[in-house]
Amino acid sequence: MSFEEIYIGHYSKVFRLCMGYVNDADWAKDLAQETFINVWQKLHQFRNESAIGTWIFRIASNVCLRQLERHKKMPRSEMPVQLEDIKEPDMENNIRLLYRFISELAETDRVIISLELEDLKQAEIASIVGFSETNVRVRVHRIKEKLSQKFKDHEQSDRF
Amino acid sequence: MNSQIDFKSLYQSQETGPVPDVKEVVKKAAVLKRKMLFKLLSVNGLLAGTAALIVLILTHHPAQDLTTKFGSILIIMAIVSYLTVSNRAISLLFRVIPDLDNHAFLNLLISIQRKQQFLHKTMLRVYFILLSTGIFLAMIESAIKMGLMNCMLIYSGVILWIALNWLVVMPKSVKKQEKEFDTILGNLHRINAQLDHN
Repeated sequence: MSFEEIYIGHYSKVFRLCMGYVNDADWAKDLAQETFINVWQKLHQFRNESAIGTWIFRIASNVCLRQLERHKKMPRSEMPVQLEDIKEPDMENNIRLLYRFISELAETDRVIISLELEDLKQAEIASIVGFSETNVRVRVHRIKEKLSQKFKDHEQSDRF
Repeated sequence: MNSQIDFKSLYQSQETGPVPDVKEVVKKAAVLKRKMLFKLLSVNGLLAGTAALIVLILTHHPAQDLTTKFGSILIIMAIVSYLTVSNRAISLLFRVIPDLDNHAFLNLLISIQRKQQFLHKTMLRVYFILLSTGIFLAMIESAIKMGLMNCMLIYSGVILWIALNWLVVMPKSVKKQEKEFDTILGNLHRINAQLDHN
């Protein structure tokens, strides 16, 4: 498989993971690009011990987790999210809300839920994060509860 | 509405925009590699050049006094120790494998940061001690030949320069780096703890 094929086949998935992590499209693009720069540099070291997708997600999640080391993050309150001002169709609004809520979770929870929602098997998620499968299952359940609660709270605050 | 939210389909409906040109990624990766190499070569080249120049001068104009020879050796030792440490720090960064699992990757970053923190703190002091003592000793021979007034003038300058480094430049640099290291390590520990507690 050539780098170009890998890049085209995985760009959207990597972008979504980064977007869930930072909730900022430009920043997510930069992170996705940094991920593929690493993939390009390390591709010759890839030994087929895991699926290429799992390998790329490991790199992408590590690139995301490393952001705190490199950047002073913009506090969430200063993020240019104007959800309250823009009236959009429900679907669009819910997508925006979901990504915002994911980015408000603890760093590793953002990675876990993004991988889960990307349809990765929990065994794969476990091998990316460095957890046991049982831990991933428990964590995914908790995160989904948190997200549901956030949607519920948002709905309630919207009514008033 | 909550119970009906399909997180998976919402998540996957996120617009990702057009896929940036793959050539751009490859180009950026190559530029990055070149920049790193250039940085490595320029620091090494500049300092190795300085050391070579000192050796060359000493070979062509052999020093009479032991203090000059000893001072020059100390200056070269300062340069060599700086190069060794900075190259080691860069090679530590190069060895970071981003395809480890998150837990292992965070642990590796923490251990690298600790090593770099130690190297920076310790070696900066060693570098300044060797360099200052080296310059102080190497100048004795020529300063004596200049007469008392010039000698006093030159040594006042040297002592002032050394004092400036010890009292202003070095503490400032150490403090700045320490703060940076502490922030980085604090964040890495905090994220890693999320993987420890289940």
